[in-house]
Amino acid sequence: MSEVPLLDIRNLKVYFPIYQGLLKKEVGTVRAVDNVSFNIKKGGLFGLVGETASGKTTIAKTILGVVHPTSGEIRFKGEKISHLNDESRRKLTSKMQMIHQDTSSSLNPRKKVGELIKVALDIHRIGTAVERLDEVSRMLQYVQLPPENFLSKYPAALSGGQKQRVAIARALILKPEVVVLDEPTSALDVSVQAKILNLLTKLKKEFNLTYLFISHDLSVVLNMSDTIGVMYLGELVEVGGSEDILVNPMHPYTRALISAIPVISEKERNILPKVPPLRGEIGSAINPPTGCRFHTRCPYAKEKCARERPNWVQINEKHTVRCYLVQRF
Amino acid sequence: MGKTNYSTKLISCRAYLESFFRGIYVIRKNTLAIVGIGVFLSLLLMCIFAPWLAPYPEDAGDAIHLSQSFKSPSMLHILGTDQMGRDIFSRITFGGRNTLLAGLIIPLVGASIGCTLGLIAGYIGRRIGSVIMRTTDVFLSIPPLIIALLVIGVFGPSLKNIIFALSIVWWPWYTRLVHGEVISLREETFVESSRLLGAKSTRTMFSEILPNAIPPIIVKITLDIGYAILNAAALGFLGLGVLPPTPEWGLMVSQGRLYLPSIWWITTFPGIFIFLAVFSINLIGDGLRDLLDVEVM
Amino acid sequence: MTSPILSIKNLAVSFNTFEGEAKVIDHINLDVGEKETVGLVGETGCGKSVTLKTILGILPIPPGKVTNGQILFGDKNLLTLPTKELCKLRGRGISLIPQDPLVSLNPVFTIKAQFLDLAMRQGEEHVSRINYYRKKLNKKQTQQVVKKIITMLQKVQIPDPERVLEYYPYQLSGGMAQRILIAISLIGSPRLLLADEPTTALDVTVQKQIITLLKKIAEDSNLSMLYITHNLGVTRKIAKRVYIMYAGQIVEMGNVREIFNEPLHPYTSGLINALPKITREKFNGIDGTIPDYVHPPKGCRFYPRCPSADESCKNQRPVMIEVKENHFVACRLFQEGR
Repeated sequence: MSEVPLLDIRNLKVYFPIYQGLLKKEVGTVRAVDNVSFNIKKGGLFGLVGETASGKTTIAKTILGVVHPTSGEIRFKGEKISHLNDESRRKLTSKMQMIHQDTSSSLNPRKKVGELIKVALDIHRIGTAVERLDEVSRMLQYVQLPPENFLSKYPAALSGGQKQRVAIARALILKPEVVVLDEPTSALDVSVQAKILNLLTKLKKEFNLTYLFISHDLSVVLNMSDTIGVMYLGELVEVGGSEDILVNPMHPYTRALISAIPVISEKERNILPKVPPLRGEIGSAINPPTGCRFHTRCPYAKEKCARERPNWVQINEKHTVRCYLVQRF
Repeated sequence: MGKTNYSTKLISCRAYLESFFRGIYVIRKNTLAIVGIGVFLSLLLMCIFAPWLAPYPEDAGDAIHLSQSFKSPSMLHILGTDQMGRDIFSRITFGGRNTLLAGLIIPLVGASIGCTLGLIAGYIGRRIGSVIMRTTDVFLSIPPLIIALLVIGVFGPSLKNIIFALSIVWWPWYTRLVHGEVISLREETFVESSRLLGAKSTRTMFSEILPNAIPPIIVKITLDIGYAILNAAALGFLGLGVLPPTPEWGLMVSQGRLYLPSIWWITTFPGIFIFLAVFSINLIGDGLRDLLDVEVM
Repeated sequence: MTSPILSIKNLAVSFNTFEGEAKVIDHINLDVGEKETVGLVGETGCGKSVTLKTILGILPIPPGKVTNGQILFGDKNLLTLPTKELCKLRGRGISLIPQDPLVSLNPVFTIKAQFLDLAMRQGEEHVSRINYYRKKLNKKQTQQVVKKIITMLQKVQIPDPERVLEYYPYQLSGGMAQRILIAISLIGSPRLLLADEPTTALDVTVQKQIITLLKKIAEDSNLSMLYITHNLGVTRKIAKRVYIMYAGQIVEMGNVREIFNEPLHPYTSGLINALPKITREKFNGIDGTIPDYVHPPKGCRFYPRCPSADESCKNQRPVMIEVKENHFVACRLFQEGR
């Protein structure tokens, strides 16, 4: 490889033990993330798609150090960051930021917008008091909130979109290199969602950012990302350029996801792959199915799928998939 | 720059005004709270202006007018006189100073000790948290008045010692309350965001979590003022509080009980004032609960 | 069109707040025909839920109040109906599929217990303790009801219904819980289903299953349905006719395909433009936010955000006009053009 990827995740496993009873006996583990590897180049936009409980958010939290990995490693600019102590981790916070899904609880309800954003500068002791205030106003302008109207508002007085803009301003004020967006728009209305997504695209260019975009909404991810990873029950099942994923989805789960997008025009309907509907729902990560974890819902599942986990198959330079079906093609 | 600062200040001023008026709107809906505020304020004013209000200020001390003793309420002595012939109304106005002072200080001291401990136990958790919480349990399992009696027994009865004794039995409730609040707030996304921004635990604790735990604390403090007054009065009644002849409502009730039921006014009027203070504070507490709830919404 | 089963006529609802009277529903008209599935689409805060609550008679009054209009269910006006009558209608005439399936089931009772209570108490405003236990302890009657419940669960395609009945809600997945809620809403054999975003909390693959199921049930049992959602794509899948709601007003109504292919109202086209499409066309949001309901714009409520607004929009309230057959729109652009 010629270039060191900005963020490199290798064989990441995150297991949570389950304790039960008075003696806190360990009765099992939740395999939230199991053997996930992918990397993001500088300036890239990696989209991570999957349903509820597929482990997307756990990956995000592990990257940011909120959750500690069970095994595997995460490298940032080639340096291992997955087992740092608190102090070194704190230094990294200005390089990596996260934007949460839940707009209503990600902002402290008892602080004004100005304080909410300024706090990042206070923590890292950047600039004088006046400079900090100026910087806050500048950031608010970047996210298209006029500072004179918003600086002294409480989050309760803001709409969902405005709250998310404040969250973006706060994340970007430290000039991070990587921003993890955990479902940044799923709590918002479509008309606002479009605004926020376009703003994020604009800011990415202006601040030269690298995004990890996590969402359950494939139509959003297809539009935002250059590379997409599809997750199912803690595992990546398919990774590819967004064009590849849309035009030539290989994994039956990816196909089902795409075909389930509720589209509105005839033109879009024609693109959708025609697939038989999936059975049932996503299983539990406590005792995940053996072999390919998707086999319990897969319309094409064979006996072999339940026994052995399929290996990665390279389709083209960027596109890889993990399914026995492909090997027969 | 100066200009922006000025306009920012103006805006925040407007925001404060608005939230103030919004508060008045909520309170106005709650007639009982208004009544409570009215009664409590007049009691406070009465005590502050006692030297001017009291018809016989010297009666608050150790004056003795045996010729005037046991006079029933009349134009001269509106609430009557006690066994020493002292004007009861005068003594109530001065006595309220001691009673209300104890009522206000005890919960405040208790809350500041209790909240700090609760915050530490809830946020840092682990071993320190367990130690704090188990100590709290021990304190909660002993009747508070017994500990208070013990303390007064050691240090001797006086207003200062009552306040001290009751404050140290008061904090465990706050520790419990704050601990619970912090544990639920700790999981909020904004606490996680603060950590993701690189904040240290002390900052997260005092600047993110504490402000959100304050409303229930304030409500509890207001309600506790009532209890503290009652407890101080109870200690006074047992003769372990303020020493005579200093006036104090609980003590006045206690001293008058010997002459019941024929000479009822010596006990009844201070009793009514204790009741008024506790009742009005409780009404205010209820009103505050509504008010603070709305602000979070 | 046959006579509608639900007809909302000129309904206006407002709330008393600190700022003043918030006019949340502003004179809307809405019809749901016999055996018809109608979509009501709008964004957060546009008044969908208030409309729904008003229909069911569960609007909190005060602070809310209905200032104008009628809601006709068949020939009964739901707004003036006494509570006793209304209780008879709920569940039997009209029933609701709630939005969040896992929160809508009581976590401390089994599915069976919740089903039985509903099935046995339906239509009564108040059941005395004695009657309640008398009914419950009557084995024969209970068994009959359980049998009915099981057929219901089969109808919503729940595998192994006998076992599921003994489950507690936490043992269910989102999709299962939603199926059970659909079954519960069907137990009184209602004529009209009100679906309040029943798939928003679910994953897309499960959403697809639930929509297919709802469609089939509506067809099989000749149900009418008012499907409330903010998701245009879902509306297209389930409804034939759709109402677009903005800030307490209906701005456009017509056939789903027609509206989505050729939206007339600037708000509708704005919404459609805002959707990220899998054809990867450019998408763009709508500027501004929903207006303040206490002092809404005097004319068209969309006027401050509308790209094609002019002076006349500011003061004159547009009326619904039929632009094409069965395609109505409330916008000045089309009034002048005609």
